[in-house]
Amino acid sequence: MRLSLMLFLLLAAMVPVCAQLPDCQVNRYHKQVVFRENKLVEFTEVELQINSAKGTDYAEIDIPYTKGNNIKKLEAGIYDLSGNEIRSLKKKDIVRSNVFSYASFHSDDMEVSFELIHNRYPHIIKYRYEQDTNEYLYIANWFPRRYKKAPVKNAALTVELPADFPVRLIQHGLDSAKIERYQNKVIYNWTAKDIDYVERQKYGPKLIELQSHVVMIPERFKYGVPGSTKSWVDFGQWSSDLKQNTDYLTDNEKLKVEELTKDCVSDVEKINVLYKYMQDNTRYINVSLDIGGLKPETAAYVCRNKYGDCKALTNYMYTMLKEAGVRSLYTKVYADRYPVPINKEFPSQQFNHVILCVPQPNDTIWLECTDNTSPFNYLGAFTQNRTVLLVDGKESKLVKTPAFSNADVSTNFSTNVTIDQDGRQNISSIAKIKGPVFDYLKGMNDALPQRDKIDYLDELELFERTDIKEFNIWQEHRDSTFLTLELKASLNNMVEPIGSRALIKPIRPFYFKLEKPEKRTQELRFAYPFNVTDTIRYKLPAAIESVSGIKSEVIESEYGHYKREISYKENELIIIRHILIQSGVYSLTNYAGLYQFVRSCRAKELQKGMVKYQ
Amino acid sequence: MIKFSWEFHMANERKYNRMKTVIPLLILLLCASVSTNAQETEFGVLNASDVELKECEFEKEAPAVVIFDKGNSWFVRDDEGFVLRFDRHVRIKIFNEAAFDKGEFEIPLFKGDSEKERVKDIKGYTFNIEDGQIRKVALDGKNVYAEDINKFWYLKKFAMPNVKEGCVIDVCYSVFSPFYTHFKDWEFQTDIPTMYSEYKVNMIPFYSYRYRMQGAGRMDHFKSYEKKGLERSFAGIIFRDMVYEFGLNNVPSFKDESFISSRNDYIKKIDFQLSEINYPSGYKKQFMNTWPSLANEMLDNTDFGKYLKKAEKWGSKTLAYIGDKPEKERLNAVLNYMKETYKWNGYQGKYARLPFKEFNQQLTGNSGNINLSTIGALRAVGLKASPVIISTRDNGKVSDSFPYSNLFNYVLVLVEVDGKKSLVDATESMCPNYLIPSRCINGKGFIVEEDSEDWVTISNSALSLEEFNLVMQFDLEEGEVKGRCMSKTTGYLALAERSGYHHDKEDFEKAFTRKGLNIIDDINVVNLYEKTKPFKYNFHFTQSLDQIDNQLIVSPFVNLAEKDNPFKQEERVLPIDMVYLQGNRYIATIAIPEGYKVDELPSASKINTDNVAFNYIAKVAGNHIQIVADYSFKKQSYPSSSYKELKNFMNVVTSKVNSKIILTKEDDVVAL
Repeated sequence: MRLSLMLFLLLAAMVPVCAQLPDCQVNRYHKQVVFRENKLVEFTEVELQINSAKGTDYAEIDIPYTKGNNIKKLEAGIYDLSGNEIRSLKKKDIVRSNVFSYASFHSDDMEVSFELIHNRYPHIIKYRYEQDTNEYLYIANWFPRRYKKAPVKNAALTVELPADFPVRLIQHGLDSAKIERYQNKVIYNWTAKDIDYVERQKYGPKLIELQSHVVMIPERFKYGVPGSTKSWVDFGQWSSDLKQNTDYLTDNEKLKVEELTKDCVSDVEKINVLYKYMQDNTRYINVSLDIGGLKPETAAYVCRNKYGDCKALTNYMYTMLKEAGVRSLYTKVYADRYPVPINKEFPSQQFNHVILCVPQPNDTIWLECTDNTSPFNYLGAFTQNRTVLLVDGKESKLVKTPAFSNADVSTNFSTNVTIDQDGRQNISSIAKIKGPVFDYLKGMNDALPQRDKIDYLDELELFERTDIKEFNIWQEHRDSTFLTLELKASLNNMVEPIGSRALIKPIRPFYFKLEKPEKRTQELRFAYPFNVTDTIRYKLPAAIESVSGIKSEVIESEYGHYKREISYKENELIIIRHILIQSGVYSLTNYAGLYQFVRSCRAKELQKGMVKYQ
Repeated sequence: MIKFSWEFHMANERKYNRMKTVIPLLILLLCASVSTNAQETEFGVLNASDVELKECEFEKEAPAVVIFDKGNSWFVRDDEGFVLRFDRHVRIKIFNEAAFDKGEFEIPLFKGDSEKERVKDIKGYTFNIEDGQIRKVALDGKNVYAEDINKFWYLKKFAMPNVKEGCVIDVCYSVFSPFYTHFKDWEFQTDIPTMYSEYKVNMIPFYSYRYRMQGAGRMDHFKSYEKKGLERSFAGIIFRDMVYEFGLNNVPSFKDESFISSRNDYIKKIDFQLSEINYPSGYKKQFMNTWPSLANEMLDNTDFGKYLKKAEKWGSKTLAYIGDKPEKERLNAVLNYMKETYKWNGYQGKYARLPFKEFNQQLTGNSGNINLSTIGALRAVGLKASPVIISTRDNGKVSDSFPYSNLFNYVLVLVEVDGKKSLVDATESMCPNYLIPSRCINGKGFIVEEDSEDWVTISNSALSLEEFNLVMQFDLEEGEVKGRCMSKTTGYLALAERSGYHHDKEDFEKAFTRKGLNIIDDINVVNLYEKTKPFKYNFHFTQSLDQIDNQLIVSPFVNLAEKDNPFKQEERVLPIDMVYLQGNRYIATIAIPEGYKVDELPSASKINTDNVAFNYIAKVAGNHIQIVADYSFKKQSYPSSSYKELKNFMNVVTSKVNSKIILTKEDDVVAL
């Protein structure tokens, strides 16, 4: 047989690729932080060993900095393994540029770039530089393992502080510092060897939580204004002070607020009217300069430009409410569908976004001011169910945002699949969508040109293996927290005729893969529940004699619920599915149970069916 | 869409009759209908029609429309002579939120070693109707930011205030440039429709330019006249500006399509190229008026012709040891040496960006540095080699009627070995010596030799092939398919796979895991660095087996075959560019488990046209099923009229290569 001969030849020619040196390794990564004349000075030294041509990718080096905290005294060179210099970096080969970012329109994030290429391996690249700053929130924010694929042999962090300088400290994955105390100074010394890179497991903690790190913050600091990290009240006070004198409107805008609210009969109505006015008249443009990363632009800036970033827009809303006599609270939050939880023991800037909290006698109203399509009093997957800081001077405190309930995220599909005599397959679906998918879709109608909408829907993968022909999305009204999606599409081969039978492949199966319990080392976090119902009616080209493979079933568990019902009559097959998975944080002890449940749901969801025609 | 172009010299005829200006009759005919744009376009003053505009008449769904976009380039005096001034005034109506980003502006500016372009007088207004009245808000100069991009470019950017649905944005600015070789080009088309786009150029006797129109068969507006008003003078010469106006009405938005060579090939635009400087003394400096003069100038250039000589000198010292080998070996030795020694920094260019000495120290440089050095090295070892300048795919096509050096952005190597000429490149270490990177496959290239008028077609007739050969059996107890997958790729597909594996082995493996294959051993790779040979790899895998009652449902190509038709669009406007010839082959050999019988086997299928071919056979041989599927594209590019055929073809192919086989327990079959 010709085939097996070929196999044999292939085997004979096989050369196994054996384990070898990494393309690049970090031999040394040292940082030293000292105080010098009221400035915080940071010295950085890096030594890379490039072991192959591929490793020269690491010899294209970018060092980020912020305008004002310039990279100074940069020196770099190529060395052989015995330490002899081969070539040093020339000043004219250093490029400074603004860092490109999708997240902001303009910022003062800069980088210094240079490359040092050599063609004999291995060789060493060394570089060092200094940075100093007057104002800082961090004394050290040190992550010794920087690249996934470049192992770190030796790393060290030294922090030298005046003896009477109180600090707060978090460390993870590293041995504690050796501390040397002298008359007038304290020296902290961390050293580490062969630092691991920790991969994030499915729905596990974020990468930044998993890697080894040291974070040291001053207990008293000046960043824009003086502040303290002793307690959340102190930190909230600083946040209040920083935004002081930003809450004034232009005269025109004052009149506008008065005019808009003069007929309102309640505070809730005022809040609602002003919120919609803001949504309809502003847009998000993020310009982040100087301490602008944390300090909002004035409300008057938004009045004039009708744009701003999350801080500016929230502060503008806050100021309009103040003008209308309604008290609200500027609220700091870590926005992400899967957030880094706030470390409550460590009052500090652990946030990346700002929203507005409006306390009311009966209930609290939450306003997302950076989203023109957000319903009134709605927090989406990016901000729900987490600890946030209410910035309110001495009254500042941590509270929790409301969590999505099972009902808040429920998504219901009603789907018809038809197969005509020529085998062409069409699908039409009406879905009532809530929760995270609602968040993605609600803005689409307005925010995208018509021709880009189908691409966007395709990317969401709500409907796999379809060519969308037409669709329609609508909301009952702008404050509705669900939307309806109607869609018609041709379906690629999801019902596959095989002789007198047809293979029914799962449509929109809902599943995800988790690590086996024996491989799991991290807790699992479902930040919100999953709750999907789907009723699919197949109109098949012939009368059904039997259906095999898929059966009606129910799985009940403390982690959720799965149900499937199958019925058929003449040439119609109906499949109803419902999957509910509870949100929550699951420790390793609970993981096995959750894994079993998710796995059985997946097996059911991916099960194909076979229809035998009469 | 056919690119339409013409050329002529523009200069002031009356005062400067030494230069003979030829305006082809063609232009006069095309511009016979000269319409004037009646609309007032005073900055900061709206027309009633701007306010009333509710949608773009010729593109109803557009989220915004450019009401007009006007450019004006002219020469202004400075202390030493002239600088180029470019004024732009654009007015945009925004219909809905989808176009709010049109309220954000970026002005890219070029910087040279000592001088740079500067932008001045950035002004802007946003107009909104509020309470029945027009409210006008000005751009605050404080909100204009500068950013450095790299060594050669920086930009000014700003976001207009008060951008809301229904607003009108009016923006103007001026760019002052000392670079008279970079006369501002003009694009009439953008990603939203444009009601009127006009470019006005004011020529003076001292500089002559040629221009090239693309994408527009005729101008809706064309005028040329002598500028009224006071005469100007420079170095004792009295002159008036000669003005040319080019305008287009109702230009549709430009939409990118997949499988095209470059946006630059299709967008409606006009390009300018300096052809002459006429000094007041009477001396005339030619700028690449003909191909031979372009070639000769490049050969005189420090960063091109003179660079070649330096590289050759270096080559004869460094690579002398290669000189005795047969020609073919010499070529390979030089290319291998270049690829191993120097790293491409990702910048394209036909000129060497660094002097040879510096390049040879830094061991990294742009494509000009690497390929010009390669030519020098090849000459040093006694091979005949010449530079070929080309335009890469993302840069657009070039035509032999326009000797504009700035349309070319890359240099390749034309080398003669044993009497045969071929094009080579040394920028990609993973690319075998017989291939040039696919970004270079774009029409033809100009051979830069003394007095040259010669071109070479850049193409690759070799088929790039991917083959999967699968041998499978079933483990009924485990509910698994167990198999061995052997893959072989050639040409550009091998280059892609090889680079993928070289770059990230784990990602390479993950691509299979994502397709549901569980790799149980390591992937064995053959010829990873033997770049001239096919790239091969194989591995053992398991995959879950679909069992429904007593039936086994088998995907013979275990999800490796293409699942979805890559031709997604329903309609097609632009030609389909596949870059190189390609073919795919899948072979599966499946052992039929004891007690099972083949119940369903897909039927054979065959397509063979001038454009494409497909062949599919499934048969049972003894206790094995054998399936072979083959499909190929016979051309590198297709006209848009072939789109339907390609789409239908891939529909058949994807459906067939994903067809299932059913095996049933023998008892059951009997029972039927």
